[in-house]
Amino acid sequence: MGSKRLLFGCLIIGIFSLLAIAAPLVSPYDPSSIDQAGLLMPPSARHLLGTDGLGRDLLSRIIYGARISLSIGLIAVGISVAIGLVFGAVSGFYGGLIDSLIMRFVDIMLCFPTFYLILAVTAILGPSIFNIMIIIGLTSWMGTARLIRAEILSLKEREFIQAERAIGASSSRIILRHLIPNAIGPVMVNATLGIAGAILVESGLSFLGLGVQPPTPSWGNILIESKSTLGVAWWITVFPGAAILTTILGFNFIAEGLKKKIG
Amino acid sequence: MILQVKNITKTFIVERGMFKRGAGLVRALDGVSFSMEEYSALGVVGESGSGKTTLAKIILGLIPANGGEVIFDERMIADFRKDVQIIFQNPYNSLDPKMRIINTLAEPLLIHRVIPRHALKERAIELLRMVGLDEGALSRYPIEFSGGQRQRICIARALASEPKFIVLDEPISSLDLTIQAEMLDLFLALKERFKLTYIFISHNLAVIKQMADQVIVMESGKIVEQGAKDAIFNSPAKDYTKLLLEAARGW
Repeated sequence: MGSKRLLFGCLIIGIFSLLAIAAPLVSPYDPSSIDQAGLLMPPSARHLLGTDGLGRDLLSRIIYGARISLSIGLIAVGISVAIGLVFGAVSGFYGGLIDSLIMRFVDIMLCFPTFYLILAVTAILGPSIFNIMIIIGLTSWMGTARLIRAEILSLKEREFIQAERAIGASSSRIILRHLIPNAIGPVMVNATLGIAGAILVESGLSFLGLGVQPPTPSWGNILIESKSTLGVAWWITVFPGAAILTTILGFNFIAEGLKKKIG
Repeated sequence: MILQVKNITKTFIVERGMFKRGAGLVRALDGVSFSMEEYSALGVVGESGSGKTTLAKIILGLIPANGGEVIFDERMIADFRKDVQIIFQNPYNSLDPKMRIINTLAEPLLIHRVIPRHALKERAIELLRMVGLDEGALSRYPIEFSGGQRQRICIARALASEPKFIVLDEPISSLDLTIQAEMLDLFLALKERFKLTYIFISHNLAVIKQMADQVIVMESGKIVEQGAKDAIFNSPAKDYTKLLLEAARGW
């Protein structure tokens, strides 16, 4: 069951990733070119998923949007895993005062409602793709840190770590070559879920106008543009929504499958 | 004297209850002293909980003692982490599960710069042969080996840095009976070949009899009797030692 899910998830994400990478080749139109023939055209042979309120091809915008949304997800999670790994490993390995300080800092960070924190920071720094990646990364590392810390706390009592000490391995060698490789499994599961979460946050931010700025398409800001025409053009809401849903489902499948695999 | 252990004391704090009130103290080691001559073999025997493993870890500097001293003669033990090694009881837990055998064996070689980097593989194969395995093991992971094979790999790793002193902490008690005898023979052969001084920890008197020439009997953190092997086995002075011998005969 686990491997089937993993395969299915990888298939979904693989397709979206390929579409995103090959966007200029596979998208039927330029995502910002306007078709004079019509605004708000329903799905047809000419525009497979219809056009939006400015007459732009929806399919092309969703494909280009995949680039933005997926890369925000990946990079934001990359940043958060990197921070969480460092804090968690140091905290778990050294213990004592350092551990208490880092864990209290984690508690403080967790006290903020993340989304409002992100909103506040974006309002100050200004919305750009780059800022969004960094802000999501900086506000989502706490789970990873706790996970890594817990893994390392139990690993460092194992005899193979003591054996490393006995052969004279330095602390940094033990952390980097032994503790982190053995603790990374659950973190990967968590990170996969994190990508899905980051995509959702980006969509939410864009929906509030604090995310990716038009005309650059992201799944979130296509959705916001659909808001005003919801009554007459269902497709502009449904298709990007479906893209978000499917991607998140895909990442969740991968995470579940990985979890089963790791045991 | 290659090793002098002077009056080692170790106390563990046992925390009880939600608010850690009523913390109790457990005396794991209480004034343990002994010394060892070069090339000698010391057997440490005692039932579980008598502080044998704690003693081993303190000698290796893996945990701190609360009092007392462990002194290695610097003329014989110049580089402590290179010259003093340990083999643990449980081979299933002593090898990094995410690391291929070649990297596990290469670690002590790299850390102590025993040999140049290009000769690593050759040396790793040599180490494996020494403990009765072949080079096919190099690229495999610990999970692919049996307990006995894993213990052999642990021995190869311990010997990689060319140590002079080894602590064997119940090295065969988690192995099958049939393999135990083989392992003991291997230890004795390696002892001869590398002129090792070692401490052999066991709860099994028959094994101690085969492996040691001096014996220490421990009970709840204290040494109750120590002396030459023959003296201990033939005319034990203390009741506890007699009890252990009695129990071993029955078994």
